[in-house]
Amino acid sequence: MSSDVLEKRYRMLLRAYPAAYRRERADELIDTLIGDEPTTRRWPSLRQAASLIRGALRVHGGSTADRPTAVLLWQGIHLGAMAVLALGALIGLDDIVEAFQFGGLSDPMAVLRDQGIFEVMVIAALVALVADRTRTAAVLAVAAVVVPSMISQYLLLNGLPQFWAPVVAAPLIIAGLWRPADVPSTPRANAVLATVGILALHLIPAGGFRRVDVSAQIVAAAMVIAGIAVFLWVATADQRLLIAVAPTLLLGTLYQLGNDLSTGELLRRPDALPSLVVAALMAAGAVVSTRMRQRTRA
Amino acid sequence: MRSTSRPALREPSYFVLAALINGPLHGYAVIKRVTELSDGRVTLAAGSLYSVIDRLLGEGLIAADGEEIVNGRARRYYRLTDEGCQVLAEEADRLARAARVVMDRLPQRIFPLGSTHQPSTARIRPA
Repeated sequence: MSSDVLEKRYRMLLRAYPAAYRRERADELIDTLIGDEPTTRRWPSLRQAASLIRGALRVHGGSTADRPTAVLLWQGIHLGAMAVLALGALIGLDDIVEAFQFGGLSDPMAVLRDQGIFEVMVIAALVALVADRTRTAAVLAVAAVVVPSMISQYLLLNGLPQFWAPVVAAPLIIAGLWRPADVPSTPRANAVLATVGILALHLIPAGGFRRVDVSAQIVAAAMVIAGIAVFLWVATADQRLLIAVAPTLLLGTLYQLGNDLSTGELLRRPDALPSLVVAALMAAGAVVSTRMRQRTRA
Repeated sequence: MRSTSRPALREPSYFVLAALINGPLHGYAVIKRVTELSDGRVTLAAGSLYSVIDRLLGEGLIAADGEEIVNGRARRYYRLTDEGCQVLAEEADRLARAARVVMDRLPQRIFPLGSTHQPSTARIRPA
């Protein structure tokens, strides 16, 4: 009886694998997990659960594909474009809410003209990308750079982080148009989940670092360390995330470059240059190591 | 013939190939055999085992060798291919030569003749 319960719970965990892989391997994996020996265990061990989740992440990352490097690279670029648009939309939304909170209600049309049109176009590009309409997404991303700037130069002149989102995303989306036929597009649910994960990394409350209160600094440090540790645990298995996170760190870097170099924020902010350099190196490392493994495998 | 510049097999891959020397095994049996052969140093969890199996299948070093239904579930067996056998032999030879380089040069006072050097029993839990 307990093995039935255990099997049911293992099958829940196996849902982390792509459906095609699960169809092929679920029974076999359950057979291996349950083993021959009678068990009174009702819950999967933490070790087995972690191993299954990392195994599933590796499969999502293209480990079983005929060309793992191609899957890693092309799907990483696709996820990077999605993540950067989602981050731009989120920052833009936050700025619009803030604008309304601080006097924008007296002239709502100005807020909508300065930021609203841009926000709608970025969200439209993101929706098109999620719907796998790559050409439409490319057109909308380019339009999100050009059209709002023709109506209001607010974002352009201030060089706000969200302004850079379609600028960074457009070349990635356009590059995605040349995705080889044998590289499948990223499954939608998986792409959304990966994007949410990258957004969560950016939402780690690191503001406590700037406060004088030591306990706030300790809490912020603990949150950052825990967030990065979780991200790396996931991203070292599904290495597409290492590629996808790099463009999102470009937003903070470009904003600080255009903002004021004399403040030193470019080198101090966690979402600016140092993180971008580390992310770019890790992404390059992921591609090189996957390529080497592909040539020799095992 | 494989290139001699082939990088070393990772330890889990090495022991999974070694586990299949005596004939086809299914997943659970491979895990038990790997633990046995490595003196408990390599204990593969199921997710890690299938990551290794997927890579070895992709490389053609092992192949699926039939299925049977046990407790209503398909149990698949894997066997070593000729290429897998050759790669494993090359790796074993490389490790033996590497070990010899050290053992031939170690002063006798560290491991005097007739002593039984016990290898580390620290467990390795591959990701």
